[in-house]
Amino acid sequence: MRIDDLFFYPKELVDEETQALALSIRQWADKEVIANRLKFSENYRQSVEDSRKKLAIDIGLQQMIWPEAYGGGGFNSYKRSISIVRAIEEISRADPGIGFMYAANLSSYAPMVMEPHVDKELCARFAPIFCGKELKTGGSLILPGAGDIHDEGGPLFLGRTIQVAAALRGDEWVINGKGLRPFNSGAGTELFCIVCAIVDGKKFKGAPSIIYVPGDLRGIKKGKVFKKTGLNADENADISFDNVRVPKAYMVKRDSAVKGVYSWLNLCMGAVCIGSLMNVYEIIKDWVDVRVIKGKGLIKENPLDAAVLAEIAEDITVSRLLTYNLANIMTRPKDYGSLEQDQVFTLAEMIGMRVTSSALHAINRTMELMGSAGYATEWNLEKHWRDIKTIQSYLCGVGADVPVKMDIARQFFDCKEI
Amino acid sequence: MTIDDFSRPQEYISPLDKHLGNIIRQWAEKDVIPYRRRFDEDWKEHKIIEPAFKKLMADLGLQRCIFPEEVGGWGLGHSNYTATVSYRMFEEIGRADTAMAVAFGVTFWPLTAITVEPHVNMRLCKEFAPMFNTDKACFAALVMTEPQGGSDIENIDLLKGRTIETTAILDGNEWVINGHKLWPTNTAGVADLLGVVCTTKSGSDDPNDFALIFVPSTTKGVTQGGPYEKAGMAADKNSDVWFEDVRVPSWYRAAGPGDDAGCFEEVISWGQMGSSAFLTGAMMNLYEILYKFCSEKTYNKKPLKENDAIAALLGRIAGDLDICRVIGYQAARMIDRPDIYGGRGSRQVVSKIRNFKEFIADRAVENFGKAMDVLGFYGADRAWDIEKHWRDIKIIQLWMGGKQLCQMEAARYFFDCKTL
Repeated sequence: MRIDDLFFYPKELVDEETQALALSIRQWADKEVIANRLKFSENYRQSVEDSRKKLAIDIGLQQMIWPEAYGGGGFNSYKRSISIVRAIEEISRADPGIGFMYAANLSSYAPMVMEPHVDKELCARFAPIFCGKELKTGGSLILPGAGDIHDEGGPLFLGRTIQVAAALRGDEWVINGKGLRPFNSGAGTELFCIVCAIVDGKKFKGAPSIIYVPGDLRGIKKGKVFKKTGLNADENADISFDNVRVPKAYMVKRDSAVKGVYSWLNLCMGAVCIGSLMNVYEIIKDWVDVRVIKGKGLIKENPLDAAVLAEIAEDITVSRLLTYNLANIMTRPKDYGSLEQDQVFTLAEMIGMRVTSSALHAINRTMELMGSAGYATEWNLEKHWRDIKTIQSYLCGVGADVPVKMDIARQFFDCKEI
Repeated sequence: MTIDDFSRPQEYISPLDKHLGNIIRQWAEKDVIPYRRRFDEDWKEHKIIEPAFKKLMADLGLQRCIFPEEVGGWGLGHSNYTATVSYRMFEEIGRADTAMAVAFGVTFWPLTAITVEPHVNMRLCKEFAPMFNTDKACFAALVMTEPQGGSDIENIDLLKGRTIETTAILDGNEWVINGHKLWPTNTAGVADLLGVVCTTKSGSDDPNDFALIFVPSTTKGVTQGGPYEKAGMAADKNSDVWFEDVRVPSWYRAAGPGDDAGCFEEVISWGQMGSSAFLTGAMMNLYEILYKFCSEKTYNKKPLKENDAIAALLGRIAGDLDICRVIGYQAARMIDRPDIYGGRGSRQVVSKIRNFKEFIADRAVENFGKAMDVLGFYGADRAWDIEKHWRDIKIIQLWMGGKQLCQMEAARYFFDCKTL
């Protein structure tokens, strides 16, 4: 049985155009990545760039999210949430690292490109960068995270420390922040999407805001690409902003945009996880179909191992349903509220946390069944494990799942002081 | 509070513990921890890793410790504290790098069958001790897993060795060995001496046919492949090993018919005890790193450790280490004192120590994963050292039959299951 038939998702919500796109991506995945995993292991960076180029330019994923009026693919609407999940899922089946890049890129563009908040000035300025025929790294998010005990402490976004300050000087924002850890793509990004605290003199004022900063401006210092557990398709580096100036118009003009970024991020990372799990299923299915235990029967016929396989299938099924359900909810603001409002924002966090956790659980169980093959590079499972774990830690930001739990407790129990 | 304050039964501790522990900690601080972030890229060559091994094993002389004094060793195999002091050594090495700990520990693994009371085989000790009395690092390997699987071979209580396909046939005064092995620690050209698990009669489940035979790695007919690329454990090389009409003297068999199978059951206890030590060593380092991060970084304008919800996670992590260390040292004690707990290879001891290891591995896997999340954007960053441990300790959970075999052994023992 095909994986799409085995693991349900609401097919009736996926339009023909999206299914055609998903098919194109699957063909790309099978031909360019999965069939070439040996080549990828020999020269990963170059292989990723080659395969990304086909995906980004030939299939058109790089411009997909930008408005048609600015040369994009027109997927710039909350109404396309399901299409976006479907696309990211298929990319991530091949390589969660590449899926992660698209997921994070999209989340970084969302505040300016997504209907009903399309910012024409910002789109006109930045769409040409990403809607051409040249492969780009894409947008990089700088989100609130851990504070430093030695700092006096700036304003918070729901307990997380905002480490970038923006001050209005005439018609320009002056951006400052040191030793910042981007969520993604810090090393090569063309455009930072930064959650900033607005300062007026020595005082902070107003709500956290999003300001876009082109990646090549004077005053931006990039550290070395750092080594990390997974997601090696994406090169990241610490960033400092030293009096970096951008036009006043580069700020997104609504307070709720920051929560919207988190909603998109959790949805899209959920899609990365379920794509990864689809391939994990394919890997373990191949394994248990031939592997013999105790010198006789197949491993999948042993009740203990079958019970573990059942856990894996359950994790995949539930994760996929949850992620598509979130996408569906995000397409229906009249019924559920905007994705920038507390209720959907909290739901997205909950589902993001649940799906990453389930994905990791399923991969861990798969590794147990495969033994040494689970951690040997040649079986292609361990990369999924490293990639998904990295996403889980990144989504936490700081303090494990505690910040998300505090957001949930606030939403459901009206907590005031946590 | 320091890492040395985590609990362990003080009455079990060897008089050598403090001295050896301090020596290895100094070595780890100077020769391993400053370099370990580069180990992943060194997995094939071991250019950075080898000098640290040389210092530990040859210069400090630890590779000789298990051999009797008469052949130049330290006589650790004669002690009532062999396992307990080994636990401390493994733990200290594991704190710095669990892959180095396994490469070190596995060197003694097959040797327990000829150096530890009551199995001392002085003829073989005399034969092999000179290999280890050198100024270069010398390793041994226990060559066990085969292409059809490793857990079945380790599942000796049920399968009694009948799935072993590597054969040893007596031809005059020599064993002739043929077979194909996978995954042994210290292969890919590392080990000088191989302890080969094989059968003298293919398909037999008679314990008399189970054999553990020593083979110097330079023997004609032994071929080792290149190292496997893995998710972690760069300091531990693993490869295919082929034996094609390999001939060794008949007296290279460890203990003889029936006794080899008994030694192998003991080997399982040793291996699970060692695995537990690697894990608690890594967890001690986790505590050190978390203490620093959670004291310096804030959430909601307080140090992470001062937030009640985060503190609950930290408390669980530290509490688990405290408990796991007690359990790990208990495993070592059970190996050291068969007069109190029963034979090292008995169902009782094998099952319980497997159970201990499974528990400790589960706690370690969960706690390292949670710790990476506490660090958030920095959890996957190699510069914070936790993620490397996270990759390494998962491998420890998976090896030696993994969780499922541990669970079956426990069920068999505690519920008297007959067919698992």
